[in-house]
Amino acid sequence: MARPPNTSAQTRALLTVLAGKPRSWRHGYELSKETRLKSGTLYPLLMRLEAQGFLESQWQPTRQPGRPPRHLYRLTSAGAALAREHEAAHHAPEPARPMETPA
Amino acid sequence: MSHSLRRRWALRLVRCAARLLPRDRASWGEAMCSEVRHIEDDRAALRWAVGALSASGAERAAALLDTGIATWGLALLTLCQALGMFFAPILIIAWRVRWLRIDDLLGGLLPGDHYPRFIRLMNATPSWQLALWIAAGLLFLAATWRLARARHGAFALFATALALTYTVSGVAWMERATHPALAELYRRTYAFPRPAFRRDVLVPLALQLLPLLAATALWWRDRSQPRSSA
Repeated sequence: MARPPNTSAQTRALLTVLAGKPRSWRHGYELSKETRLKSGTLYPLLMRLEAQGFLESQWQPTRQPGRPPRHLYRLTSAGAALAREHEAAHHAPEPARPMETPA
Repeated sequence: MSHSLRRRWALRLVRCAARLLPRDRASWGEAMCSEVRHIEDDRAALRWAVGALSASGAERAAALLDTGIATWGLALLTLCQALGMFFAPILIIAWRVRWLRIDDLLGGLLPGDHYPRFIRLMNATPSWQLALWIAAGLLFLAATWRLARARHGAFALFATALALTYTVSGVAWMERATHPALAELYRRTYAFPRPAFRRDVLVPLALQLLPLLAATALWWRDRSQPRSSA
């Protein structure tokens, strides 16, 4: 059976980190350090989440001379809802097993 | 920002990454270049750039495999695999039942000279081998169908069919190794008077490599496509 999209461990880790500060703009290197995902894994996830409407991005000018503007990311409301879904699914209690009757 | 060798390579690699991305992802290329310039540590910046290059390569490959040309090319390759699987069983069955001279028609397509040189080998081919070849051919056909309908899951079918053909080849090889008469029959059937680079090297190499390349492309395609339809 095919796995549903956006359920990989890496995606869930990224959503969790982004949902931790939902209104804050975060840059890629910061996300990489918090999720422990390398850029080769992080960028495809960010691209996919943005394409699906779960992530928004903006350019932020920097005060440091000689440094270009930085690309920042945060979850959209749909992305925040997705993160809450994953969080709820992760913490959902396991269904109770029927008690075994002794022989 | 330092000008160390690591930093210079980081900047070069991330510029390559930006150029490699598909056009609709161009803004991400700028994001990658900008991010590298904000990473203070040169080693970390180089690692970031290498990862960015890997991500760009993956995006470019996914974009290429998503085109109509690539899909139809893979479908054609998979169809050829299917026809290849059906060829030997149909020839052998047609020969055994003398079926409408189809054996003459197909035999004319075999390499080398007159096809009846393969008759003894055809007679020695067990029915289970023919059945597995036909099963593999049907799986390749199913994979072709899924590709033609732009559906997910062609890789699983293709890989199963390929595994089946390798299993058949492996069992046949073991039989030849344990039955010297069979090995001798095989050797005599494929003994051509003069060596030919295309027949003896190029064609067998292509027949081994092309299915593996197709399987890799199908795996990548299935991995990067959304699973919108089963």
